[in-house]
Amino acid sequence: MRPDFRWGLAAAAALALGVGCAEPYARLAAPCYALVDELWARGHPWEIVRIVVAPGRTRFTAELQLHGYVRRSMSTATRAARVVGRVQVGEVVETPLVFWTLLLGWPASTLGQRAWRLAAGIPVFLCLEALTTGTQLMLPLAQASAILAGDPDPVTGWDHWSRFLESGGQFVLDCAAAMLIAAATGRHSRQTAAVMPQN
Amino acid sequence: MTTTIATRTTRTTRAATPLRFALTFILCFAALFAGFEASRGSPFERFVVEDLILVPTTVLIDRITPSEHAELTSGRVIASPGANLHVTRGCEGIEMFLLLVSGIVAFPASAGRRVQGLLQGCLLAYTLSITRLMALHYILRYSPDAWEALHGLVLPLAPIILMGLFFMHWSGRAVHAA
Repeated sequence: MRPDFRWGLAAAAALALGVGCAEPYARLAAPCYALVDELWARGHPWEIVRIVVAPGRTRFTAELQLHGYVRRSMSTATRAARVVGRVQVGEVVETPLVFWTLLLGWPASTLGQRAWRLAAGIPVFLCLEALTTGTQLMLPLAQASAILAGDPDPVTGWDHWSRFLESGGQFVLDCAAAMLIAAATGRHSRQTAAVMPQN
Repeated sequence: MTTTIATRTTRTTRAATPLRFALTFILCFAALFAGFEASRGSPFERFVVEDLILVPTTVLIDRITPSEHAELTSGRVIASPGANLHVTRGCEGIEMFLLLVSGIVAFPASAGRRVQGLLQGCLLAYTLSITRLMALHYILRYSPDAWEALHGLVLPLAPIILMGLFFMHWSGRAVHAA
């Protein structure tokens, strides 16, 4: 089968899987995002209360929601703002779909090579999740802090990062990470050294 | 299996190529993204987003379904009596152009092949951008229950996947030509 047909089929299957599994995946991963966002919140006057999957603003959507509080500074104990960070469940499942489809679909010569990729992919995938969905959930906390600091219309570094992700950056990161792992765990032959698999 | 650029390079270069491609791809995309973000609100950005993408989309919706009475209102809303599609930052389809240019810049190919890839790819990206926005409008209008799955996952990702398949096709031809 031609590689572009094979990748097309893999992508279609991944999308179908994503449509069916987006909400269960978000529910399953919510505790992991809570752990990651606790780490992101360190050093900031932010408090994560819970991360849950809930109905969205319209009746047609489900969202992963971060509920938290923001204090004016690290030294104060009083909560100054309550915030809710929202990411649609469809966006939540994008990183696992793109990363794992590309990494596991990449041509391999042996089962062992695929196992190496799987093993190397897990920590990288966790980092990607922290950098993508994890940071998207944190955005309102940073915005609330900036507003409390006196900026009525803040554009923080978190905003720039979020815009980067939403403008295709998430896809770029997922692809680049999968490609680098596939190359690093290659079989040192000319096939896997190629930029794109063309079998 | 056949090979791509690896066949005409040394072992050392081959080993570095995926890393170089990935890094160039990321850096180029980041630079293009930063450039486009810097142009937000400028006449250039309004021309690209509104005149080149949103106006033709609205006109097409109106031509295909005149009963919709679709019009582009301020705030980048494709409005009709049955649906108001608010096209926010990142929903215009610009990312497909940025991804295409980044991929073609990062991949080793001749200037002619690059130009060919950019022209064909831009045509595809433009078609996909407009088709995607039209699809979003009709989904919101006629099948809002499907909005979540389609707006959140399928319609953002499917055009990018198609662009990826185009890139694979183009890069394969570029290597054969070399």
